[in-house]
Amino acid sequence: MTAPRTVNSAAVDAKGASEPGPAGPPLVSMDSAIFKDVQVSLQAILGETTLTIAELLALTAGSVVKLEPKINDLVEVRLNQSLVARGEIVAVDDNFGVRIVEIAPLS
Amino acid sequence: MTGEVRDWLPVEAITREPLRKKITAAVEAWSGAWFAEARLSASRFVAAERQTRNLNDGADWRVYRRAFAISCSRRAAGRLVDWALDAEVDRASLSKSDRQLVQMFEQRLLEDLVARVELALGIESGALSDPCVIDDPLRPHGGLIVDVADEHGSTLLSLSAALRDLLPACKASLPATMPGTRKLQSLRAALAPTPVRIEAVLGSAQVVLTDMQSLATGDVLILDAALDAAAALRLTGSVHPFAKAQPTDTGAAMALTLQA
Repeated sequence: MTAPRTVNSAAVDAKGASEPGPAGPPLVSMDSAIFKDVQVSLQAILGETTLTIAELLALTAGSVVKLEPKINDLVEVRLNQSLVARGEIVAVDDNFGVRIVEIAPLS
Repeated sequence: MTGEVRDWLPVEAITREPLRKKITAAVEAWSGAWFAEARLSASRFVAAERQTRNLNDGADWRVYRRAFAISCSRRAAGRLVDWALDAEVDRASLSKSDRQLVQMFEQRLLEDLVARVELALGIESGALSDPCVIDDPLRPHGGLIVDVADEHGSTLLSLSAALRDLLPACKASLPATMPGTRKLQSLRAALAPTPVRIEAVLGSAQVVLTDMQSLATGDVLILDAALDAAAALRLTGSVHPFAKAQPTDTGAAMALTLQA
């Protein structure tokens, strides 16, 4: 009988990434079925700008905030704050939608 | 490096004029209360890191109350008792019990000096039931030594207290604003020019990972925002919006008008 292998929790750093283990194929791949029910949130960002704290504190109802100009009218689609796609705004029934025009590769 | 945190002032602060005046007045009041003829006064103030001097014929440092210790030789203590009682006690023929009474009187005399000085400095204290001897009253971070002398400048005793016991009195004696010190600016004014990134979020879509991986150009993500819904403004990196806004046409760049 062999002793069961255990995972050393100290080997997991603050970001949750584990240290490289012994050589061999990974146990889990991105196309694994275990991910089929994992839900992620994609954010559609119209644009960004920089304000000073003084300007931010001076905002009131009716104030106009100019976003930084973009070379196109595409919105950015972010996953965990990372830009993963761009798209154009469309209407889908009563909601906004984003038609993808550019998407990041899987890896 | 140490994790100890303690109040700090430059050691010179404990010989500043306001403190010296208070101690001088307390010593003079003590002298006036106990001695008809002799006039004793605080003759010297020294800030020291540690007690190195062999003071007053090597007399011990005795603590009578909380902060100040006294070093007073037997001979000097005898003189103080003589002056206070207007007698030459040492030359008198005294019984053992009388000697004990004289000793208690001497202790009361010195303890009253400490009480007056500590009261003058706002140090709350009470008399110890049994005065104790200590090696160095300036431990652990230095402190103040005050010599008390007669009118001929002859030192009779020394008072000493550690910096940590004197800090509150030192700080209380400091002027509210040091001359030449620039006025402090409010934190809000100092933070005002700090740049922050703002992002306008049109909406979001919840997608399962397998759908996400098969997402391709031409696909449409349906957002949770209705066509008449306002965009949410938030600081980049934050999940909490601080305002709602409607897109406004300003020509070149997109702009947003904030809603109430």
